[in-house]
Amino acid sequence: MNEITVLASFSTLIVSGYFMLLTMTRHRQKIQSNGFSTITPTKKRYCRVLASLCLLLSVLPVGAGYGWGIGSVYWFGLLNIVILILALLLNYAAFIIRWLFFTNLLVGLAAIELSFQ
Amino acid sequence: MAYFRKNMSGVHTWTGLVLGWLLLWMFLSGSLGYFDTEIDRWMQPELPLPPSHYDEAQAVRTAQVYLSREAPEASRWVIFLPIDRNEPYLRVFWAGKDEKGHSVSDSVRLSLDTGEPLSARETGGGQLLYKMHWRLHYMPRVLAEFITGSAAMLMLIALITGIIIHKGIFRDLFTFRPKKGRRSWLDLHNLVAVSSLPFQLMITYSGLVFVMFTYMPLIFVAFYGMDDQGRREFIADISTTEIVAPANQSATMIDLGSFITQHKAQWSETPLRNLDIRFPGDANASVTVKSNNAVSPLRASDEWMFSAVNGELLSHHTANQTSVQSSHDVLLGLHEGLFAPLALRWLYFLSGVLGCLMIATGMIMWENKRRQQGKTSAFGLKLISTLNIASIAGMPICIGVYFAANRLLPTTIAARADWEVHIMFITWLVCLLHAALRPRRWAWIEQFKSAGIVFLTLPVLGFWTTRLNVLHAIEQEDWTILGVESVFIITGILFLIIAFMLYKRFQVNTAHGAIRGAKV
Repeated sequence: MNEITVLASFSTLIVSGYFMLLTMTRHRQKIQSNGFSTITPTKKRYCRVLASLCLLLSVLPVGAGYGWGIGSVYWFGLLNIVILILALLLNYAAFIIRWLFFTNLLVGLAAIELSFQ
Repeated sequence: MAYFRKNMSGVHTWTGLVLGWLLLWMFLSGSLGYFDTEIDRWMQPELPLPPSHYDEAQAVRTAQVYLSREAPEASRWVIFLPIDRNEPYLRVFWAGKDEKGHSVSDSVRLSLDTGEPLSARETGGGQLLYKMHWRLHYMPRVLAEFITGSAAMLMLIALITGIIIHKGIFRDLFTFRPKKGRRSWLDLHNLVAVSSLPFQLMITYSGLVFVMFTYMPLIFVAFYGMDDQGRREFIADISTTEIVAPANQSATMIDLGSFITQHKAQWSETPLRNLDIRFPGDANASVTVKSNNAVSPLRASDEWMFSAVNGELLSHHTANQTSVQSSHDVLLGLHEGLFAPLALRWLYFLSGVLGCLMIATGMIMWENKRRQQGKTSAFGLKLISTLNIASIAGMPICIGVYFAANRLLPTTIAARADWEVHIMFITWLVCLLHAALRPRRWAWIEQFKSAGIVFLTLPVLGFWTTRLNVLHAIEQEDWTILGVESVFIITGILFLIIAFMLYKRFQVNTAHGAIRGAKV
């Protein structure tokens, strides 16, 4: 069951990272396949808020699964991995990021539900 | 602000360079230290599979019988129970004085089935590799702590100045632009550093806390003095273990195994970590039972102290400590990562490797920048280049050769463990000479290629010289051995890929008539 909490946190961090990338012009151009490169300031603000919310939410599953001591250490490690994955994918396979986002959105929701059962 | 950033940039550059090669070794050996017992197991293939289940009382009884037979006159016995990967086997430790009054001690792993010592080839194993992370080698401990502590101090300064000079640290969080020369190196350096920044800050600061009394001794000296007596008093004051003086009268000890069974209810929720028996066989003999302290970064454990003669409870200390001691212990606990389950341990290891990458990219950038500026002397550039190659590519080779020596050296030679280390350092010297004598680009390619070959050879050596190999590990469900050999294979392949990529790049540069060795 503790592994589910790690998966939940990881997925939530991926979702947070995706929203963060949408707020950055250069990165958004790479991941948007339809060439859409502009975003209104309001949508940018919404993306930033969603990114921050998901970032905060991602601490909860590992904290609940392992306690706040070990959970917070886990969280920093997962954050490290997510930043690396997204940075490398942006350059070598940016098209995967949107699929990663949708997959982890579903997996993350399921994992969070299982974590807190 | 720009002037301040420029100055900090200079500080960052020089603090990173001065002991960068030593820091690379510290990060590399420290990262491997997170799998020290797994490496120990691989380097002693004679050892059986660690027990997954065991009878606590029977294990204690087995240890007591052995200690009563082998070390009846010892002043201290410690029985370590095989509760997790930090202590995979039943182990006993004893300490005392010989006929001449010199302190002696020893530690032995015991078979749970036979109660006899487990025999395996003499090796430093992963423990020695991990200890070299701060004790280095071939030098007194205090000197090594001064050197590694200085390196850690410079590392901390480099980290903080790196944060200061990095404009847009969050804006550039995901930025990495490959195939753009120096820009790419800087992006990679920033990416690995910033993504693992919490770890790097924690590991460096907590590493300094480990040696804080070496670096800030005056407070300690002011209260306790500089002699051994003062040091003993200090340890006694901070320790929760109360040592009762011996009565110098012999007495029969209780059966500790049965004792554990009777009192198990007191600590039934927490596995026992060890039993610390003071003055065994004396009328004042005591046994301090400690619960598992590797369940959180705090490292604290509950302790129960009983009379080893009549089983009377003498004292009980809970895991709660003062806030000062908790702060100290949590930093050390975070650094050591003993509490970490397997997945978290892998995250620790990966963060350590990213630290190595951060240092390596920094040193390569220093060299490339000065080579292009043309201001540094040829000797200075050659020196930096040689050290870079011998460290970044050469250190993995010498670690691989350390593992290979474990398989190739005869198990019966004297000082076998020492020779494994000697071979490792001789290999590093060879890498240094190779880097000094060969043209720069070929030195890089050949050393990475050698690293790849060495690591890919290790599973073959295991298959050839021992019963331990990948197939056997799968059959026995020995996931530790399978994991270690898999990592060797993956590491070897990665190094060969790097060597191939460098080769292709230099072929392209040569075909376009670029200056030989202009870019790494």
